[in-house]
Amino acid sequence: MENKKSLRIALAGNANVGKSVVFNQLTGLNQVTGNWPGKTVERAEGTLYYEGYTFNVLDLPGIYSLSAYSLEEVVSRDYIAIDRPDIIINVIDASNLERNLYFTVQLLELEAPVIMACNQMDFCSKKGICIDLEKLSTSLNIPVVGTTAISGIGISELISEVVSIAQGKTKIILKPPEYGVEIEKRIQNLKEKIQSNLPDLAELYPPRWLSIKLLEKDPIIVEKVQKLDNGNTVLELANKHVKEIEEIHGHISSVAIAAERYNIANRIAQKVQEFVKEPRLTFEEKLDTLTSHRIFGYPILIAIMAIMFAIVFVVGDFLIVVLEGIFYGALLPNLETFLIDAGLPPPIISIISRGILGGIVAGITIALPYIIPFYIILAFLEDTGYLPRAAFLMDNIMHKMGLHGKAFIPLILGYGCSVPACIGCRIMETDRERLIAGFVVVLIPCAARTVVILGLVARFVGFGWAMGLYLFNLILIFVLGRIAFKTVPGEPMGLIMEMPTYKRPSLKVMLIKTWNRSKDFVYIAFPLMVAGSLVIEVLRLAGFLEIIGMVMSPIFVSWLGLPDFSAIPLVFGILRKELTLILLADVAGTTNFALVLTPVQMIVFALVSMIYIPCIATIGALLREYGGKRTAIIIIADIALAIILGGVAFRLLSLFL
Amino acid sequence: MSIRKFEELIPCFLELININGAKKLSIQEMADELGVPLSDIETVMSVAQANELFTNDQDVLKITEKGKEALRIHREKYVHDRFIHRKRGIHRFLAKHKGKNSLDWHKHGLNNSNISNFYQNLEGIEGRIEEIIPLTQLRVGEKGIVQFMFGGRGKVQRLADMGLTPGAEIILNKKALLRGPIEIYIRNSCLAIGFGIAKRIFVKPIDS
Repeated sequence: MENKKSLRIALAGNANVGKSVVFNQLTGLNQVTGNWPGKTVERAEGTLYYEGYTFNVLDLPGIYSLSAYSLEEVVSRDYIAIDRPDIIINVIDASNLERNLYFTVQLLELEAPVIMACNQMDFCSKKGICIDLEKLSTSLNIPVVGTTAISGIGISELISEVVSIAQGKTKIILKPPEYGVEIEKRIQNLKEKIQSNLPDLAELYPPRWLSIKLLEKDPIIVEKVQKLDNGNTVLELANKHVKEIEEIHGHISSVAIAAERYNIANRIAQKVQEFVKEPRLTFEEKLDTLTSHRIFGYPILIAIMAIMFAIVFVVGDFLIVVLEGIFYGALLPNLETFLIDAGLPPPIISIISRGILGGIVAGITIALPYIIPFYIILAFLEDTGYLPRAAFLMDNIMHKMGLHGKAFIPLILGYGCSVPACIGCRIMETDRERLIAGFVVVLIPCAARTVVILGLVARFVGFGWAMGLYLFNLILIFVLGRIAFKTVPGEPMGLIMEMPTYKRPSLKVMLIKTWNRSKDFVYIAFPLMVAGSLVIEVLRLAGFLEIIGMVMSPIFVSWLGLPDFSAIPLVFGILRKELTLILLADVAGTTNFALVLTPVQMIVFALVSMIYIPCIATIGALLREYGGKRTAIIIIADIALAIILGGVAFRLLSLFL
Repeated sequence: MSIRKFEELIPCFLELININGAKKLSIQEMADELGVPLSDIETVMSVAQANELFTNDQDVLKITEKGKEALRIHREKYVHDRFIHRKRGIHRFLAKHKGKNSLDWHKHGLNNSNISNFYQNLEGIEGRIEEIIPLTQLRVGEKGIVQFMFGGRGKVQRLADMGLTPGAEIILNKKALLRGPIEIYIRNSCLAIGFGIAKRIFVKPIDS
């Protein structure tokens, strides 16, 4: 490689090996997130400046293979093969060598310039495994650096290795490992055929890799070859070889090739790793046995969730009181007097203070106090490795909705805030599952909706009725999930998930995660909150609010049985769900809702605000994840459902209350 | 010996010849292995030989093409009836007494190429088909060797990528309640697999 000053580096590897930790260590906090063109696969990009070099580092999604059966895998392999980053850092989990080497073998097949970061060395020695990095490097023909990214060990060695490649001091030999003779013979045969018949395609992808993919019957590559002029002659030969391989191995060719790769991985792993002592994992193992126990696992799950919400509400409430004191008690009134002193006309003052500042302040005082503790606890659950256990326990129930256990993770997130929950639906493998999960998670009562349910129903009607609403919500989600499962075309996927060992979480990593997520939330939600508050304020000043109330009155008064003034809070609750309660107090002129609403009306009000459109920040997240059409469908379905259920509830509850 | 038992015994006998290959196996050993009286084996042998299912070349038993076909049909039917499409109630009755037995794999979500793959897998099984069970029937703590996965290309590929390749050794770690997922130990790490997938992974249990 010539001496380039600016290099593109990609981090690739299995899920859960610490790629993102390496990424953060390399780039500091300089992390921005963006989208792949047109797809919902997130990639993180960052820059590292070192000794006059600029390294653009890209964090690829965590994958186990480079097959054609999942979006992330296709995107990653195209990035590696076509965009050709200058260096690929293959981050692997040293304590799980075989499975990680399987992916490395595939990277080498792509004839990519790979450096290996053998991560989690500390955990590896805790497990009693000793790895000979020197041997690993020679058997793979690539540079290998041992790292413990979480404490920053080995990162500088990794950087100097990258620099040495950039300076041309270290040459990377592109020599993919060889298969067993039966398959290798056919790969070479096919490779020659491709080189002579499809020179253009062989230019784009490495020809040996193309032959392997054709032998695996990779649908995307087969289709590409088919379209080319000489494609059919190549395919004929490929199919002949596929038949031969299948006859020899007795299994379909792609499985036979996967087995071959695992053989290579296993051979190397056996050679370089030594089990020096008994693993010291007794505590982690006991914890695992207990938390995913077929019976005790469930009460533990419920207890953990209860504790989580208790902490979020206690800390959140405390922060709200403190922050409200600061903002509403001191800052805002002073600012208003300042604006009046400056001699601005009243409408403009009201737009500035209630519109622009009101939106920001409400976001800071109501949303962030719940969301930040929630993110910290979530990071804790994620980093310890509890969430996969919860997914394991809930798999059975989630299957009834056509989802699998992993969907339980965004569902938990949904109780905190729908925005991270929507984004969290990415962990589902297929588009179909992402859509069903997205549809379901926005219905989970988030912290803001909890404010409405507790503040109205629990306080004025009775705690039991509030709990009833939660229960009803769970049933509703189950039923709707089932309906969505039956209507959305496609086959349900099953759960296949690696179960990580429990690990002691690092506070620093947790805080970085929380910081990035909160930043993400602020970027999405705050502009919308400010814009929304501005619109309401302008409408209020122009006298449109009463008109809206009148227009909506057939639905609100006749069908839902609510007083006419309740239309405004519900309509503007789109901005943020707790706003429905705050505005209700505004328009009713009192916070003692018992004076203006009957118990039935309160329940219907809470029910409607629980179900109808997710708030505008969630709509933003939905748009980002699912595009306009699907978001519109979800919104329409939610509104229709809220109105229908609200009306039915009004009529049914009137019989009892 | 009743006709039914007889029908069942021929494929079992063929399985035995198949796994033992050219190895000599005395009639007594076969009888012990299958747990039937000596006379039954002799009858089965003579009928099978008359039907040209195997050849006897100086006591070296070799399965013929016709025998292989019979074996394949037996394996297919065994897997189908036992694990894929277990008949219950009236269907079981009909299958038993009217000989109605649908082996229509298209109904199980397989296309033509998947079906031919499945046949390939059946041929690749090392050992008698009667030893093969789905992963879900393995007991906790028991060891097994993966034989084949049943399903579409994408699903099978996904499992193979996670290390579930034929010949891989697994230990069943945990089973969740009811038809919940299972956790297995494979290639030095733990993997959770949903029930629906696990019951389509066929393993041969081995003593640890």
